[in-house]
Order: sequence, then C-alpha cells, then structure tokens
Amino acid sequence: MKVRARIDKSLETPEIQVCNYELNQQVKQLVEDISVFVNEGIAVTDFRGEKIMLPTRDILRIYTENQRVMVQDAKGTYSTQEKLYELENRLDEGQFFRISKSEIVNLKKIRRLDMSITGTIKVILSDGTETYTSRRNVTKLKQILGIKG
Amino acid sequence: MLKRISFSFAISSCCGLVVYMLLELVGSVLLGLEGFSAMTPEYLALFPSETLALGVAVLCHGLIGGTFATATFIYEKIELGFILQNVIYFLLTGMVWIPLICFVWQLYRYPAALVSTIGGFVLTYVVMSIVGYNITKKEVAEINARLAKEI
Repeated sequence: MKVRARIDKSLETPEIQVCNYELNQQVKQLVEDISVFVNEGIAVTDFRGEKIMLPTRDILRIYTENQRVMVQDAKGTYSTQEKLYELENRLDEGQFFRISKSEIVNLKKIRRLDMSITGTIKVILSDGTETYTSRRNVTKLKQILGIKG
Repeated sequence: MLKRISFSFAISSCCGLVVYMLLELVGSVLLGLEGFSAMTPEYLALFPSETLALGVAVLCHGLIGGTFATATFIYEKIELGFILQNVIYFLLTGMVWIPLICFVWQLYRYPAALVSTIGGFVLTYVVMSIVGYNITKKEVAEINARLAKEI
C-alpha cells in the first residue's frame, strides 16, 4: 500500500484520505481504523506484546501501576506509552474523568458510587471493577454530570 | 514514597521555622513587645539563656509545621476513606504537636488549658468529619440517582 504526503495550500488542517479504485470492505476498515487511531483511540500493547488501537468508547479506566500506564477495557488490561496527564489532556472531558491522582475513568462506564462508614468512596464500573475516589472528586463529578446544588 | 515524605518534611519544617522566626521578629522588634512573646517564664527557666530557649522553640515550631504538612500524605491514600484519614492525620500530628506544645508552652502545668486545647482540636475534627460525611453522602446519592437515570 502506498503511503505519501501531498501538500495542498488550500487545506487548513492536515487531512488523511484513503484512495482506491472502489469503496470496498478493506477501504472502509482502513478509514475506520485511521479515524480511531487519530481521533478516538489509544495505542496499547497487550500481554503478548502485540500493539493494538483501543477505541476510547470501550475503555473502562486508565491508571498507573508500578510507574506504568495501564488501560482497561471489558476484555482485559493493556499498557500504553502515553502518560496519564497526556491522555487526560487529549481525551474528551465530557467522557473521561480523573477520579484520583493515578486514575481516569470513562464516565459512561460508571455504574454507581458506594460510600462506607469510614468515608471510603468506591467507584463501581460496568464490568464490576471497583476503584476509589476522593471527596473532592465527588464534588467535581457532580458538577461534570450537571447536578446543581 | 519515603524519599518524597522526607523531602516534604524537611521543606515544610524549614518553612515552619522561618515563619516562627519572622513572627518572633515582628513581635519583639517591630511591635516592640518585651522579651520573646511565645515563651513562658517556666520554659525560659529550663535554659541558661533566652537565645538558646528561642533556638529550641524555633526548632520545635519547625517540627510541628513539618509534621502537619508531611502528614497530609495520608490524604493521598483514598482507599482508607476520609473519616479514617482524619483519625490517622490527627493521631500522627498529635503525637508530635501535643508533646511539643506541652514542652514549649509548659502546658502540662495548666491542665485546663491543655484539655481545652486538645479538646478543641478533637471537637473540630469530629464536627468537620460529620459535616463532610453528610455532605458527601448526599452528593453520592445525587450522582447515583443521575447515573441510574442515564442507564
């Protein structure tokens, strides 16, 4: 497959085009893959060392563990080269929320919050994963969800 | 973690020390207060000179400042829960500031003052924890209601 750069002064932002003699399945897949890669995906490495693109909509949470950034979806956990703060800046604010110093969760994957008598605030995700957040972040989460008062 | 805590303790102790010295300067030089305002006669009697007494008091205040600042690392352990965090923070800091104020202010000679000082701290922690718990409980319930609605 040929890959080349074409300079066009009429363009305001970089644009990627996939050219072929017909619109077939391979082209459709390629367009989708590139779109996910550029706009809505995170490059991760699975436990076999295979590099894949994880669509952001499937991600449950992103967290640091032993100084590595891990990305979890419903199928498993992967590592990524991107830093947590870079991902926080890059990802959609309306979709992802930093629940602690070391963790970002997908807002659409939060099932509920649980608070214990000692003040522990558990965040329960759609696959049953349990993680924790602080009081300060509960207030922020409330604001992000548009809850007034 | 230990390195960061040690660094934080060293920096905040120095800050506490400097702040205390500045307050002493303001009190004794700028405001013209006689002697060293934060030292009791009983405390001064423990030392051969006022300068040495002041030096020890400054170090003690630095230590208190350092402890209060460094112990905040407990608030990073969110899995403990904020009530337990408050209890641990109070105990960790209390282990340092209570003996030190007893020494510097000779507070053990004045039981009523000692009890009211410690009691005031405990009460503040209890009230703040109860208020914080109720506010957060309400917020969690509101968030859960919104999440249930969206699902």
